[in-house]
Amino acid sequence: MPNEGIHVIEAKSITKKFKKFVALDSVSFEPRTGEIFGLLGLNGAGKTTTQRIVSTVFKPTSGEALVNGFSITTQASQVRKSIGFVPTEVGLYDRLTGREVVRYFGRLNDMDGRDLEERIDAVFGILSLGEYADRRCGELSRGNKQKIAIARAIVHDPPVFLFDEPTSGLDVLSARSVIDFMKKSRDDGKTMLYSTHVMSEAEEICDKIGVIHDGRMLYTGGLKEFIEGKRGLEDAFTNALRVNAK
Amino acid sequence: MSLKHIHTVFRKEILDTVRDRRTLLASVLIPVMLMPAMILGIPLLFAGTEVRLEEQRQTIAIINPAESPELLDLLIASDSLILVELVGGPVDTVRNGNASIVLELDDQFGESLSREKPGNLTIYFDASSRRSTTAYSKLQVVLGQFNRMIINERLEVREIDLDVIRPLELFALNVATEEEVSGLVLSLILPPILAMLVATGGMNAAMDMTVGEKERHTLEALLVTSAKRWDLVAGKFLAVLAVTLLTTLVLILSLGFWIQGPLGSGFGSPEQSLSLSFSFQTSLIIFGVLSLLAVMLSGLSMAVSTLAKSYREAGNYVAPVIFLVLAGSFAAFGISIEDASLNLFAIPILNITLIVEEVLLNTLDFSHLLLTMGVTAVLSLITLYFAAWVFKREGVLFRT
Repeated sequence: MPNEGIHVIEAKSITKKFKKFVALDSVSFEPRTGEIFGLLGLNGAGKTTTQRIVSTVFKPTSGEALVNGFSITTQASQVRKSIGFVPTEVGLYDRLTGREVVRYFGRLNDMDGRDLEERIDAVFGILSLGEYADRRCGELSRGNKQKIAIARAIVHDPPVFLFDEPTSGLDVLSARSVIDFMKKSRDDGKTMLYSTHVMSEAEEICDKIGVIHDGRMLYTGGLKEFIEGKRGLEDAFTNALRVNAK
Repeated sequence: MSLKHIHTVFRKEILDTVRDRRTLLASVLIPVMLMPAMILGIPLLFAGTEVRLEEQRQTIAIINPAESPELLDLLIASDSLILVELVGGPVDTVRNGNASIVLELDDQFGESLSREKPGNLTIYFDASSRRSTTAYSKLQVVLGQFNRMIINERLEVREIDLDVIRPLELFALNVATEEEVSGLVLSLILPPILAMLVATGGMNAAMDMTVGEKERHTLEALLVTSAKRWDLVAGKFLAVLAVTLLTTLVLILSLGFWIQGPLGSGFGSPEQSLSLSFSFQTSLIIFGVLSLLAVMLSGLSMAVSTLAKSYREAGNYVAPVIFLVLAGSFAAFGISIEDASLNLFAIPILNITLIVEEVLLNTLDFSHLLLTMGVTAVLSLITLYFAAWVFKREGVLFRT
């Protein structure tokens, strides 16, 4: 395994342009193994584009990123085996059950047979989804759909989780269970790139953060260092944007 | 390429489709229900209307009836027309529907006939009214009788045998079997309808598996699995193809059921009643030919649907595809199959339509079939590669 190095994700000067629009401008960050790296920014700052590049959905215009030691530009297939991606929008197949959805993604991630079924049961257990596993997704609540989306992303037990605003639109209890799951996953050694604009959640779980604004990274580093001398993460974040505006 | 991934995608899409009432309705139920209505019902309806009009007696008004009492007697004796009074002028009488037809005898009609000169007649009828055109046909029959009557009288006066003016006695013998005539009728009706139903059969499934992934926001998660884009496209293509083939099979079975069963007999006019037939062998060959069309259209409908960002937009994109199929298949109406040159079988869709015609007429030419298969296979590959190319374009996949 090439991920025995310290940084399981290494994004180096990633730039992404859509025609003339610069969505990301030389963005770099390096979460360490077993860390939750919070990607903080306003709507349209570039968080989703960053996630899509790291997950190989988009190709960078320039720059490079390594995930678990694999290049996103030349080893996309290996990168995809190494990640579990939960996009902002919870998209599921309404006519399939949760178990069928997760089984489908498990197979597409090269799992099969008893291993897959046992893993599905285990993931549903972790996410407390047991009683909803065999209901069609169209009948599930928003919170349970989000859990299925997470189960789908992690069924192949990847070392890196890419979560793009995973608590967006969830009620308090559902959001709490997602946050608790992320904490537990970190304890299990998983590395997470976590996009959010909910500062309270980020302050609770992030080890490191990157503040992104208009496609540029304003800050990357430790959370504690960022909020030092401020009244919390929200205050530090707004202050960073204010300083940048000047 | 991973066969396991392709199989996984195929199985999932089929399961999803089987649970989708909308797609099932479009692919299975509508063809079954529409088939008798479109293929047999509409011609039967026309035939029924024709029979009703023939059985009914239309109205006729006559101007100057006194000019020819013999003609008037013939018309009164006719059981197909009823004499009515003229209301106003002849044009208004017909246009207002007071009479289906007006016959005007010239002021000198009687005198002209007695001098053995042509008697002038004017018929007023409405070409936009089926009742009026039917009355016109019936009047021509009566006038034909009147014409023969006068000729007979004149020849008798001159003691000339009637055969002198009748040099030909025509006997027409139809050498075609009933199956062959049935094939001709079906070859006129079926090919465009079959092509259109095959085209629409898999469209819903194609949209659901492509633009549906975008609308449901499932595409992004799918793209970050270990499966290659080509595997995803191939799995989806095979699923669309399976649905299209199912539609085609249902179409053929439905066609066989209705033709061999409830609607196959009594087709055509009462005088020329025809029993339609559709053999198992014909069904099998037509299914094979339509499968070629299904392959090509599955790839094409997938490709154009992937270009769209919503179902609504996809609908706009597939409409021209259906139009192309319609144009290609209806173009066959202008071509006599006996005179169809090999070049015509290089034109997509038209070639399939012509091949179906050949099969129904039992005149299948294997060089035509080979060329059609070749052209369709090449186009299918192109559409499939196009679909795969579209699936790799991030600008297309994530259009907002």
